[in-house]
Amino acid sequence: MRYFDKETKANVKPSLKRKLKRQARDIKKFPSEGKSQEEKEEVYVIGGKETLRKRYKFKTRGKFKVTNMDDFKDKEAEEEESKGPDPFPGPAPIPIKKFQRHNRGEGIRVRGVKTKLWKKKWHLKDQQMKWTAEQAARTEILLTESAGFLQPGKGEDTSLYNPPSVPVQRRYLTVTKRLLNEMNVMESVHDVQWFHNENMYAVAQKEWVYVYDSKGVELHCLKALDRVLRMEFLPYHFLLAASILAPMNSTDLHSYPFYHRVKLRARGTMSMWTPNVKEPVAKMLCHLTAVKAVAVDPKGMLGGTGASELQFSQRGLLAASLGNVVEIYKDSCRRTVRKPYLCHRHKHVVTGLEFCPYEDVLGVGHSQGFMSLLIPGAGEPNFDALESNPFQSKAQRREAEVKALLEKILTQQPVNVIQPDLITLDPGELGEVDTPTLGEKMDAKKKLLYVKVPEMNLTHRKRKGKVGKVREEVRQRLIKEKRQAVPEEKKEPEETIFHPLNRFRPKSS
Amino acid sequence: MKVKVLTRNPDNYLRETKKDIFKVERNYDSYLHPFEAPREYTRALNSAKLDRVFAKPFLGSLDGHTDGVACLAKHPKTLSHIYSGSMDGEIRGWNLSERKCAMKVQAHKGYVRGLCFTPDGQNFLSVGDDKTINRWKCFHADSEDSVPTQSILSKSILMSIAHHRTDPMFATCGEVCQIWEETRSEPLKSFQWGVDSQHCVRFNPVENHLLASCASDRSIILYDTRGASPLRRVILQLKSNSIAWNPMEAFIFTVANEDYNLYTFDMRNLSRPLNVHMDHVSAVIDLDFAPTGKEFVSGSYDKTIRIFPIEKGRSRDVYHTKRMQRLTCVSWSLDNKYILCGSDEMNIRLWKARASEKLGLLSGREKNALNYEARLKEKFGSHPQVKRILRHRHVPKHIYNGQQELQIIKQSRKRREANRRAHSKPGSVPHVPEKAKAVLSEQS
Repeated sequence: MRYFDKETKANVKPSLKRKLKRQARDIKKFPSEGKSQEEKEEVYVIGGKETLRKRYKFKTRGKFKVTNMDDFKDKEAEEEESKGPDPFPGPAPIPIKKFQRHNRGEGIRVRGVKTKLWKKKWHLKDQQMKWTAEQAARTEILLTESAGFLQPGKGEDTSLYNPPSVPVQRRYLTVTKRLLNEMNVMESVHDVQWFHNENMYAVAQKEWVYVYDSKGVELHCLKALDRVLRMEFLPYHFLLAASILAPMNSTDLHSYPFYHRVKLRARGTMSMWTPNVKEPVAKMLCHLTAVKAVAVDPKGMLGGTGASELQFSQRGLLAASLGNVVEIYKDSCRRTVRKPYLCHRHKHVVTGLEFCPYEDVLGVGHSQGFMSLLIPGAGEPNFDALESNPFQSKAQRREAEVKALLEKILTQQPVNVIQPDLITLDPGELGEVDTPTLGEKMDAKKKLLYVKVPEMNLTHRKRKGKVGKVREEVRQRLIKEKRQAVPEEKKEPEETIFHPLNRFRPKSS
Repeated sequence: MKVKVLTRNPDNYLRETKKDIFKVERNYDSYLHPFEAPREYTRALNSAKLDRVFAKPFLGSLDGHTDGVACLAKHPKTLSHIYSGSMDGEIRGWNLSERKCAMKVQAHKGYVRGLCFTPDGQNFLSVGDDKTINRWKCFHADSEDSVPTQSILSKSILMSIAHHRTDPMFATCGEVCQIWEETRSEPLKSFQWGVDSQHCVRFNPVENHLLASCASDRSIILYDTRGASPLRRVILQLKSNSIAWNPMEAFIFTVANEDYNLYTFDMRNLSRPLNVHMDHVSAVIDLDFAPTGKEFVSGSYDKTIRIFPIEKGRSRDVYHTKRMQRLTCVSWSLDNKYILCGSDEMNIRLWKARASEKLGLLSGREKNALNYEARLKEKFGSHPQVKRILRHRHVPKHIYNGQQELQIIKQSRKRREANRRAHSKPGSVPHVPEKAKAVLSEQS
């Protein structure tokens, strides 16, 4: 099996190259109708697939009455002969992009394996994994829905197109489609978060965080989370991350920070947190002003910050709002976008954005209520029912809940148990082969009885030569500039919080 | 301008009638399945735990013998029929599906030493301490005074019997190894190598002219029925109690040894065993291969049954009960699902071959789920937490203590050897691999 695409034709055999060209020509002759521009392009990349399908249709259309298998074989053989040699032998090729979507890594390198047997075994395993990725890629043909799109005609511009809005009145709490419940909590509401299913949600109110069920019955009052501004629920860890307002008027994230997602602010810095570390694992100065919004794309690889509301859709559209304008951007992470994909100007100031999963709907909360915008191409057309199912029945929901709880990724390890760290920067690390370092190998040898381990200095050697002088200078200059740009934070005296035991503190501090 | 917005017709996603199963749409794109590895790991861990929760291997016991069970024979054609011989000369036939004794007969005076079926499954043969070879019809009688269809009086004592896989030919052993034809009352051939007595003989099920026997001079002897003299023999450090041929690989056999270990040999190279299977803490008495040839079961004098994969040195599982005493015979059923064992406290016990397996018919989805779990356990099996759960077995105190003691003995031997090596002339105390230690000599 060979994987190829337009870009990597260089790796393809010359004979295959010729075949590719021929197939491309064939497809141009029969352009598939009623398909979007995107799909047409895809078919072109696939090569022989479309033609193959046509050929199969033609071949199986007639009805055979099989009396004797030998007769049948002869007939088929004759037919084959009359047609001449198969122009596209072997299985249909798979476009490299599709394959890579299901590929789990670069595979096993057999070179380091010592024995022939294990070389063969690992090679077979590698083949198996490739085969599974291939099969998974082939199953895409079974997907029933295709994504929404907005296809401009000649001289038309999508950014001028105003998405149809579906206004829904909201006073305190609503969902995009159907009003589940409505109540007055009699205090300010800062944030609302759904839990793992539609039966429960958390509301960050003025004082504490409350948990309500879908009918609006109060289930819990989380007093541990007080004065919460923003919340985020981690469905695979069953954790609620919350950012609170610290006493010194500077915003900070606290308590259950969240994983593989980035969050905000304090003078333009963005911090990344994981549930198993108390300090942020990464910090980045993104803006010179306060960061108001952070969004992470559904693949968890890209993020965006801005001084307004931001939200990524499942298929990577980015919704941003400023004042009363909502703008939708396409492909904004891969290149610089000059024009929005869609733009909507509203009467009132927009206060919140949220894409509806598996739908082309953007929910917009504004100062006077709530409305939904239709954004073609925002939602994932094909859901996985075992992951999240919009058409879930009650029994399925219950089963899914139990399964999700069983599969909960542990963030705190049980006492006295050796367990790998389940939370890492690369979550796939757990499934990889653990190769011991030289130091670990030496330590293991030292534990054996009567084995002399040669002394070895495992510390890093100093790098020879100089680090690029120019590069270093540039780096230093940049750091200096940034430092100057950010005014030093003034530390307010800690005495602002009154505590009876403060009088015992040393007076010098 | 062309516009398409996602719309879903619920009819495509909901089941048509209440009796249908729910429709489950799948999309294998990896971004819809985040945290794949940690979630799979958690699933593997959970299934490893559930495996131990459901591990209830004991199915039942067949009681009725009035003395210790000496030997077991499984019917070659019917799964539910087994026969057992006891130390008081009684033979009982059992119906496993009903777990009842179907027939009993006082076959010999003294010990019943061996039982075997004819290939058609119509008759079975027994040998006993009274030097007779008796031929019986299967399930022929219910009374105790029934008589065998044929009875041969041997000149020498008989310790074991084995039937040829296809031909009307069987072998016995005792002072000598003899090959008999079913219709004749005199042996066709007799093989002798040295003077010691032999106590176990087995025909090779694949290369069916070959047979092997264990002798009390610590040797294992190989014979060919077409030849006039024995082929080869190998002498181990201690006596082998029983022997079993691998039903799938003709050249491989395993012996149960007095030194608490089992040794798997390649017939073509007897100078060193292929593998040493350690875990028992007392002499291993009997063993039997699974019909797949991938695993075997062994019964020991330490009152436990252990299951070993052929390529592994350590056992996969250990079965024990409070009441089960010294094992005398074990047998793996021909459907690869059950294990039978006879012990000297007069009971035959029925076990599952895989402790946590669900018995009965499985639905397709159940099978898929189990396959998936098995694969996950394999994938994450080397993670310490999963490994620990999968490997851990609770054993009775005497086994636990025995294991500790054995470990101390091994450590001390190693230490002594290392000391000796450290204080001798370099090269004078060579490293002998563990496998080579078991074999004393190979003769042909």
